[in-house]
Amino acid sequence: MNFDLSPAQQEMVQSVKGVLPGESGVALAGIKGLFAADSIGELLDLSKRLAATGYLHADPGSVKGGLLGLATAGAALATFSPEAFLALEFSSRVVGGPLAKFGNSRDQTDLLKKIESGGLLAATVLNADGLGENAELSAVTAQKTDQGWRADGEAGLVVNGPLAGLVILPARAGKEWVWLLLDPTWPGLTLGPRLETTSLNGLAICSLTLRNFEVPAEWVIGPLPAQDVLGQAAQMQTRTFTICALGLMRRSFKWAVAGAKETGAGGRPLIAQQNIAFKLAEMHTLSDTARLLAYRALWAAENEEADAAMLADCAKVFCCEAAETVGSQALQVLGAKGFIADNPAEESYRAAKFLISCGGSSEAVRMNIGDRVLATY
Amino acid sequence: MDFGFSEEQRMFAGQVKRFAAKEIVPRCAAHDLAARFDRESFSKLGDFGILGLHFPEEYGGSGADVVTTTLAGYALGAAGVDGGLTLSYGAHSFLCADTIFVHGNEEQRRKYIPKLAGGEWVGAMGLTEPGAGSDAAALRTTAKKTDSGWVLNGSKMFITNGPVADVVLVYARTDANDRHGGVSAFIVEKGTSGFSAGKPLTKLGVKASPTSELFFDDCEIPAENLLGQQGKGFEMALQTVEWDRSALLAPMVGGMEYALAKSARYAKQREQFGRPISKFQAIKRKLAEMKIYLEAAKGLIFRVAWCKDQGQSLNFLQAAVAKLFVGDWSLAPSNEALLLFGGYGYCHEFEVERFFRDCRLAPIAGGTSDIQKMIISKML
Repeated sequence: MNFDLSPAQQEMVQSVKGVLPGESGVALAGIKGLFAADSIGELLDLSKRLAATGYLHADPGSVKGGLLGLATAGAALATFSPEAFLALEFSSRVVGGPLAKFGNSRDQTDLLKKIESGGLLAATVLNADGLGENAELSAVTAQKTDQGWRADGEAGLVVNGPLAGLVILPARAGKEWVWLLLDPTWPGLTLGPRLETTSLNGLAICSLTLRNFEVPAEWVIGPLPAQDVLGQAAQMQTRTFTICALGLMRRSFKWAVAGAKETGAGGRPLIAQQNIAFKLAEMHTLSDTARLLAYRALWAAENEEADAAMLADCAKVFCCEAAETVGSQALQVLGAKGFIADNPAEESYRAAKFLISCGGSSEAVRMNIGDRVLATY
Repeated sequence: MDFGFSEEQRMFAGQVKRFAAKEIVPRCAAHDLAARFDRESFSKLGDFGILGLHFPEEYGGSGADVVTTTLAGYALGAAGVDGGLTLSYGAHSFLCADTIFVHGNEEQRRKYIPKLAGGEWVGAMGLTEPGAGSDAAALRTTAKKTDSGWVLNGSKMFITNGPVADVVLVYARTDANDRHGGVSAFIVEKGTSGFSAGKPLTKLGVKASPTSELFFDDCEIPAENLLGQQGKGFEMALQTVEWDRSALLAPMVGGMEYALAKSARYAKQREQFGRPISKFQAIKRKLAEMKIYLEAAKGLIFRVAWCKDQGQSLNFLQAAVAKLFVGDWSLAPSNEALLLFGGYGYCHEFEVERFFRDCRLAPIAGGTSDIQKMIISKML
């Protein structure tokens, strides 16, 4: 047992903080407007600087400090900019993961290299299954043809879609599933307009439609069992959202503490009032507990512990809901300041709502946990 | 970071759980219902080695580290041992015996630790007073130096094991002008003239753990019963916090595992509307709530234990977070367990009502949740 970060894990965090603009990892203003439709250059610039630290490696095992090193660094990035974290996590791990694990053609290897070097931003579909227990990640189907595969269908929310140079989609192929690698410039692939969202406004999301779309065989991974496609995608997104929640919590908590230490009514800082101080104590307790649970879940995954999937689900629900609570309380502490738009607390609060409902909604994940508990006893 | 237990620790936890399930748990319900201390089970804990687990072998212990000791406490709770017996164990082993071991001289160690570690004697700690609860340093029990020793006067309140204790570690004021530095610790044995225990208090939960007032009326004790240095009592009391936030909380967290297992099994066999209630989302949700709390709480108590094993100075912030979370956040999932059983949950024989009642102590004893919030907020 060891509750301290290893030197390698600490080094990874420091490396990532070192390439973030401004105050390392704690610049609460974030990178506002970084991902306006024409700012892919800025994103790729950040991506390349992060790539130099090894942060963009698809396989956590090849990163300094392993999965926990990545997660702690990721939480720091999410504190700085949750949008940047999500955009790059979807590109490097949610897309890069299957490429690294199952990719077998030269094209696939080349694409992965570009992603890991920060030269290519990749997109994939968001797990936005709502409240359903058995919702599927993708409504795209694929059929084998003489030349390759033909795909049809729609994906509702494609993260990084408007900016990406590569899209990877899970598609049903009979009883099995495939990953389709798609160049968004190919004819027959239609990307919808960038969607207006209620939070994480810097994250570029759009819909995607495929009609009789021909995919060369070397750009298809699979067929694979559903677990290797849907299971992998769900697992990666669960992990991504959990880590993002840690960053959001830290962001709103720090903002709230800073606000509470400023002089309030009567010449005393707000934190001198027990009402405020106790609220901050509860927020810290939630944040600290969430962080520990998230890291334990990641450790369990890295070490292939029997309860890894269960812990990952517990961490997803707890951390994302805690992020919403901490964000909400931060707004309460900040009072009028929190009411003014575009402060980190309100951004984090709105973003936390998104984390709770997507990447495996709290309702759906709770059902998974309940099923697993019932199977255990 | 490494959140795993060693194979040896896992095996030991399994042994503790099996021992408790066989030897202790069948006796718990009756003792809880009768609000009676189970001396026999307490002795069995001593025989098995639980009571003195962390003391060196030469004092009758096993030399276990804090994480292993905390894991043993967790296993007791997970086996279904009631919160009363585990509270008595905690007060005995950590608040009383450990303090004597850490701060006592060799003579005191030799005299008390083997008997406490083996369960021959029951130990208690007397800190809280009628007028000094959360504000522990406000204690008014006095200890005056005499030619032959000390004379204690005053009373203590809410003392776990008070009615059955053979030896009590008493904190008393030796300097009226020094709030913290004027507190010293003394060892008082049962039968000492001027020392008496009140009747057991009737409580909501942890009923099998006897709690009472203690009275000191010109209670004379020999000079050698001063523990450690005069004026260091408050520091000694603070040092028990690490145990309090790890091994003492562990059975309560383990108890959630027990309640979860019972709830899941019940949900699978209980049918309503023509199918097991486990098929309903509302029931799965309750199970999930309990499981999420359980996993979140585990990390906190073992972090405190691990830090103590590393010899790190007490991290008040982490300790307070553990206490606050286990205390306040345990209430909702313990309520879920009760509700899952419906009317049966309200009945004693299904045990979840006992767990529900026992959990209610967590935000109160050993420093209330409000005190934890004060500690945390001061450190932000």
